[in-house]
Amino acid sequence: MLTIRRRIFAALAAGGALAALLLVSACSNGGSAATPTSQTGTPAATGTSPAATSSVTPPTNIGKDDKAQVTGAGSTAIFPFLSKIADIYQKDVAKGVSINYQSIGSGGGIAQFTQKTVDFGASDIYLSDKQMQDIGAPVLNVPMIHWAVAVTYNIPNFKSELRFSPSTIAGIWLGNIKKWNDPAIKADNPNVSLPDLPITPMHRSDGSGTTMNFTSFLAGTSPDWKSKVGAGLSVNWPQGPGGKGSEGVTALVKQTAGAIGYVELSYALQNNLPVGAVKNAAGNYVKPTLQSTTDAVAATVATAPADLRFLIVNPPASHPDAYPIGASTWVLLYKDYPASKSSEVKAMVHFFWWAIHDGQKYATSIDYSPMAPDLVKKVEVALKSITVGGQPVLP
Amino acid sequence: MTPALTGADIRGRHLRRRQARDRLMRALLWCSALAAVTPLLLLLMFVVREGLPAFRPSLFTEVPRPLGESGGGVKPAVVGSLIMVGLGTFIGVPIAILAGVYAREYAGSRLATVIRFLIDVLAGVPSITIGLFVYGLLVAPMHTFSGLAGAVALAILIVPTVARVTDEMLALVPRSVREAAYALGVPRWKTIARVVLPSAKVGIATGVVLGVARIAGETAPLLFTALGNRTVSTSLVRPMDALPLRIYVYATGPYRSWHQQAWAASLLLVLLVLGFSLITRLLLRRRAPGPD
Repeated sequence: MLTIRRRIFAALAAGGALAALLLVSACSNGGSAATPTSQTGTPAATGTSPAATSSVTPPTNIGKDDKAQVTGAGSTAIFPFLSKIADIYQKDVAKGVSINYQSIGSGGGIAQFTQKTVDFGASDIYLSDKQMQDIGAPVLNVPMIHWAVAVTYNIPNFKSELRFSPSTIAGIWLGNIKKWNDPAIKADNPNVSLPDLPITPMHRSDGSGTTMNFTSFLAGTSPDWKSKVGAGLSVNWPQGPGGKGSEGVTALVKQTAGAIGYVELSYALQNNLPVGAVKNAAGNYVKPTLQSTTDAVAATVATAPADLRFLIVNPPASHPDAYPIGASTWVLLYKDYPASKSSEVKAMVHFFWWAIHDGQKYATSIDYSPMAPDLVKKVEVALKSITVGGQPVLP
Repeated sequence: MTPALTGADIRGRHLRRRQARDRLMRALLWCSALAAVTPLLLLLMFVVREGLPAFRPSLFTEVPRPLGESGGGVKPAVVGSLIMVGLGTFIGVPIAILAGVYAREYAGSRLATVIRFLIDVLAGVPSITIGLFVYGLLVAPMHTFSGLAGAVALAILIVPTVARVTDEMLALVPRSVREAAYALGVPRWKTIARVVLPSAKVGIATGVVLGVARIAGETAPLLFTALGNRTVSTSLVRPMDALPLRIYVYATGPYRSWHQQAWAASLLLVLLVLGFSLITRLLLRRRAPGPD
């Protein structure tokens, strides 16, 4: 018994010492890993202009022999798509690559990308000039997928499909339209009998790309909205309760009779909530669908700048079937990665190369819209400009 | 003779009143006990009802499948939780027990008060704050989320629970036991290691079980340390998955299949914690008797 006790005590002390040692060694490792700052010092700036890159188009399965674990974090909107194609990529193309993407929200994704704790970030809105300055190293905003912001509502025992003009939507969230049988809603829906029920407009309480696209749409169509509220990741909402994340707003709308909210389309569809048709620039009421979102993408990418920072709200009237509140998710990448990250970065860029080509076809099965071919061309140029230790990753 | 109240009568009436009061109080206590246990029973019933449909062996043995394909499991989360809770316990418990021993046996009364106060403060720090602290300590300098960071966060969380219990359990060991040892010429450290600690081991072990149960269910400290992982990863310097993290992500997602897996994973977590505390209790009960 005595020896057993001695052992227990010794084990306790040893465990404590080991724990302390672990902590110390982990810290010192961290210190040494932090010193090389090659990410900020970009050698021989390679421009995004097409001239700087070769015209060779590598095969989409270029990464089939890669071996690495790549970590990314950010947008919840792209999570279902990214995790799906990452699984398929690992199964069918590159067995040795695992892409670990965690949905911590766009804001979190930008923060972790800035801190360089992840290999790539993902955000429902491109980085602002100030954010890019704060990072201090050249970064790329690479669009990956499109989706729609749906206007969803909850009116008990009401089966008809509702239509909204932009001014009606602005009026509801501004608080000027207070009841479902308001003349403005009636004017949008002439053949529908609407109940005398108060409207409760819901919004996102957290900073979100969904809010950015929704408020940009309203600011672009309603001067009243532009002057009183404006557009942004989070705005000064005139009224109404807020929910955290698309799931929070969806839950609020589901629980509240008379509620209206804006969420990523798949949240409304998966929760069997009705979605409204929204009037576009051509004067048509269009429901958010894969096709109408793809139309919106096609209408706006032609004018997309080379830095790929653009919104797909309010497409021009030349596209009569386009849904007016489209959204995109961007993958955030550094233009130059340190040579010590070589295998991860190669595997990551090769994966995205596959994702913008073969990967796009998996989008529609989970209610996302693939990128337009014109846009893919521009994204190719961006991906080809990525270097690791100064050497281009793609041929 | 006028009927006079005899002493026995008075005692009888008094007794009946006391018995009635006793019954009333018993009933109240019984109701309170029931009220305390009801939420737990309801919670267990609810978790079992919602979690059982998706609770299959594949839950343990398969990695998550892509959306749109049925099946798949949470193996990375099970493996990650076991590693991080295990390592966190391994790091935290020795520190906690030694801290508890120091506070009770060595520190002067004033220093002991300070240590106890600090342990209480640590117990009151929100777990998300500990996550952020470890983020600054390990994740940001190492430039990667890691299972190690998750384990360290959990280790910090388990310390106050176990240290406090150790302190309290040692206080329960009678002074006479220590004095008996001293009288035989046993040095102080040996008294603590071989007499005091063994007498308190059941209580301390209960504290460890409580601590493990607490850290096994923590999500917040892992969000910014372990991050999560969709593939089985045993590397301590890579992101690692955990059951609470997986439950959080799946429960807030839009898909029905995710919600089902979140419930099943919750059931798994509850069963793991229950199973662990049951096994520990059985082992301790078997060892406890015997004149050491």
